[in-house]
Amino acid sequence: MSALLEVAGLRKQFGGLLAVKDASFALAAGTVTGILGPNGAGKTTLFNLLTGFIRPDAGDIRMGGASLRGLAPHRVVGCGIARTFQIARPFHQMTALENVAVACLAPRVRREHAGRYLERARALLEQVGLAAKADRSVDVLTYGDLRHIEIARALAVSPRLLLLDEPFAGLGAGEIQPLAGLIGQLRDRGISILIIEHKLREMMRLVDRVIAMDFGEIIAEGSPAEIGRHPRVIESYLGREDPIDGAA
Amino acid sequence: MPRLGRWGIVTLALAVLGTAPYWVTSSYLLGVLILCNLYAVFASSWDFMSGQTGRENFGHALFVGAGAYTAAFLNVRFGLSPWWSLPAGGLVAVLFGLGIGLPTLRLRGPYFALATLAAATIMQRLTVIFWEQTGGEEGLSGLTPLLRSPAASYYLSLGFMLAVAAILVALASSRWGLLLRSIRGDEAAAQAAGVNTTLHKIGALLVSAFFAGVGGAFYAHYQLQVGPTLFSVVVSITVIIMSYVGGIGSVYGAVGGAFLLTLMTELLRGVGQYRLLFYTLVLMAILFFLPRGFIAPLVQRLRAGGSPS
Repeated sequence: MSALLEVAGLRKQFGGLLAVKDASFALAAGTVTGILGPNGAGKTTLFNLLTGFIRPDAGDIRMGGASLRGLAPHRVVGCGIARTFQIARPFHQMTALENVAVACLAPRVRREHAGRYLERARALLEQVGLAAKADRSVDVLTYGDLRHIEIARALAVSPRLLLLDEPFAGLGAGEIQPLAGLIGQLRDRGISILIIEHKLREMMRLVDRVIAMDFGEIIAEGSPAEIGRHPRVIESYLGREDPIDGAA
Repeated sequence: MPRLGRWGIVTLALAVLGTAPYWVTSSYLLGVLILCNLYAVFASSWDFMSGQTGRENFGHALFVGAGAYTAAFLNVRFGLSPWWSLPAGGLVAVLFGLGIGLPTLRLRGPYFALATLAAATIMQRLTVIFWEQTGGEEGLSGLTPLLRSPAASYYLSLGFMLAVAAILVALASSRWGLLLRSIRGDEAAAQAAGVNTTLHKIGALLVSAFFAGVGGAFYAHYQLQVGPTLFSVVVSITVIIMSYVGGIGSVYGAVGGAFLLTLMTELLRGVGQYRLLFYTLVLMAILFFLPRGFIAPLVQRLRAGGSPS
């Protein structure tokens, strides 16, 4: 399998904090990869680096062979990477339809769907189950609706790689399964997905591979089963076993 | 009123404004209406940048003053026809817009607001410092009017205001307007949706600056003189208050706010020294009871009730 995204020696320091330390990994096309790690492990910083929102101090990001280093966020979108945010960030004072339509006007998409951006936005809302609420202002929608709008907006730019930052956070029990189903469908359509999620059971069921991070470093990489057994992952989540009790 | 509809209200307003020279007998009051039209251009052009993208410009006077002084230089110093002043004033204001926008609009935070505020104040000082060219505190006078007859001047200003308003309404309701409002909604999310936010913010500022500059040149040829107070903070703030009173983010709101406040300023001359007190009380009442302005919510309701989206 050829690598869609290659990350080599990525590093970002905030003052005295090394937020991401020499991260290197590759994502194959058409796979779902989970990023695992306790709070402050550098997962969201990694997303911000991949999408151009912050610039790395060192290292390179290549998408389909082309370097993304130093590109502004909207240029990264043009290279086929879309993202959602940890806390939903809708365009306030606009309708659900307009929220998605904005992303349908991104230059790369516009060329493919000239002049039909509203139809396209409506179709995307349909896909995430929000067609009935298209003309409502986002300021009156539920948090779950806003998360779905975020995903529709990310899909609007026709990404080859979709970065989801805690997509299940804040969703009710009944909303998680449909969203997990949607993510599975996207993978089947050939979109690669990188997902940060703290709801481990839901995530492990969804992903092909897992990257585990702690203190800005990638500490393990492998299949969900391998990661579940990995001693450093268990340590970073549950703490070290007590040396006296564990002596047997 | 609700039965009237959006176009009903626009038609009514046009009928009142279009026949004004026939029922406004005092040439003084006709002059006030010309000022209303020009302030409507200043306020609606301010609103196009700041109302749509949410980035507040605290120095719109910079563009008004740049247009007005350009008009004065070309007309008084070089003897050019006053009609050249309109495009030239707009273009010079656009250059000022580039100077402010290019360095500050790529940043987030208060830099743009502070830079606009500072630039207008600096220009006000510079006009005094370089008094040999600018006429200092007295400014430049002796400009030739665009048209001689008061009624013709009024119709010209009305046509100018309506043209600017129509262009801004068209731009705001276009795809470009959608992109600009997404920046106001959430700039980072707009970037993540593939919007080149810096480019669009600068574009909106240049449109805003252009119409303010043309308006400033028109103003100069109506007052027949220019002075440093054109660059003053009072002008910038007045324009912002007009937009807020009418309702921010709406061309109709800015135009309505400009008419209300300009008329109020003139009508309150009767109360003499209490004028500022009354003016402020009315402003406070409007902003307290109608925090979203007195025009914009009305337009929104009509739009929601009338045509789809």
